[in-house]
Amino acid sequence: MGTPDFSVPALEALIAAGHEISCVYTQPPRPAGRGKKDRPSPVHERANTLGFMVRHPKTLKSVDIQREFAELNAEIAVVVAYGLILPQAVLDAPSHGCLNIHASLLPRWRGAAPIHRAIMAGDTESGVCIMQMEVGLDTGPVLLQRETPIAETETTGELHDRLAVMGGEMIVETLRQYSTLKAKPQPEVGVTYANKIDKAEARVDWTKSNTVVSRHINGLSPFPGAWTEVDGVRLKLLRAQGANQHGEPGAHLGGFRIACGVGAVDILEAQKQGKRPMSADDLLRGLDLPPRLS
Amino acid sequence: MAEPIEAVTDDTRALWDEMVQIMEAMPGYGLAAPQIGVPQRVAAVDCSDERGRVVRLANPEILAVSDETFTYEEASPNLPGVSATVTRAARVTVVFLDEAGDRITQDFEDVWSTSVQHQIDHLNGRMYFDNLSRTKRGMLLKKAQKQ
Repeated sequence: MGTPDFSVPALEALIAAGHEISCVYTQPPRPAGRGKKDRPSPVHERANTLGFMVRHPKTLKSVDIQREFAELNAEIAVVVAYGLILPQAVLDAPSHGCLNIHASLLPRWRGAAPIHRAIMAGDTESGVCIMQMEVGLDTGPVLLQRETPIAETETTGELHDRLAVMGGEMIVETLRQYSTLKAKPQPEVGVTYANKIDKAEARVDWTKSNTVVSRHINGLSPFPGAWTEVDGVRLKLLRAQGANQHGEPGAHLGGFRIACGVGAVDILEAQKQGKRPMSADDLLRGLDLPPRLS
Repeated sequence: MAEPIEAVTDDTRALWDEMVQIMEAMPGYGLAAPQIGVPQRVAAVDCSDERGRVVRLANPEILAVSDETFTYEEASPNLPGVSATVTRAARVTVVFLDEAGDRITQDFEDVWSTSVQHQIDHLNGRMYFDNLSRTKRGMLLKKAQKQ
């Protein structure tokens, strides 16, 4: 059970490891891209190519959907960023329960956007947990956990890709050692929640410190993308690094260095509307920055 | 915007009792203190058909919301005679102070999730129709005026 790109490496790893996949569940096709036509989810497309049976109910709450799921007689359900709530009847249906791949070091960053939130908070470490699912939101005991450091200018996109691959490897390992792995309850301290990213929080606030601004930019990169306005047009900022220089917040200090409330940031990558992402050098060849950004 | 309360006192508990009475008289799925003229972050919800399962919340804050959504026909006694379908998160994790003043973290699902979010809207000076598109919001308010 999975939906976005993050879920695809897990599907592929399970197939490569020789597991029999009785059915793939994913969210229904949604309007996306140019023309806003209904487009199947990344998992849906991959599963179609590989020839698996795909089901895409809108919700798992109906009794019919739950019966259909139970009739698969699956031993185990692997759930990765599926985006639907699993009712008790679904959690109970597979004989060995449901395993979830979660992209954080639980109990930190339970919830919908753990990768974004880790980078936005300036965490120096992230990781993946394989967890036995319960009814609560990412509260289940953890079977396997692995850490990975977050580099200073690392973006959510880069960490996302690394964690997705780790998740695939770890779920295969978990299944191989399933009989011997002990599930550890999550610690009660250190719980934080990774709330969904609201597009309204994507605008850069130059009055904040350079640490906050650069984490904000790297944490929202590439999606939804932190932005600032240049001549009334949005410019997406995709990678930033703190710099030691001072000025009025928003002031352009040369190159693509912008002053913040404390210190400044160097913008390393950015994207104009309708254009490809570019390095700051390339971008500045075709763009004059005003003396001050708001 | 309603003010957070400093602590749960007998006054708060009396306010809750009054709110529950009003909610039961309507009957409704929830009530927020600003709706009865008290600008405090205090609310009550009860979405059970059999009633009597009221949850009392003070200073509620949403910690996390689900990707899955739930759509429900919402209405308010502050705008009688009209209603609108609103799509919200199907599950929310909320932290709040209960009757005893303890900090509780609880998940709410489906219509409970809708009602809790609806009450928190009230505490933030918003109404359910503020979640609608401008056109739909305008139509709803016009219709309510004619009532």
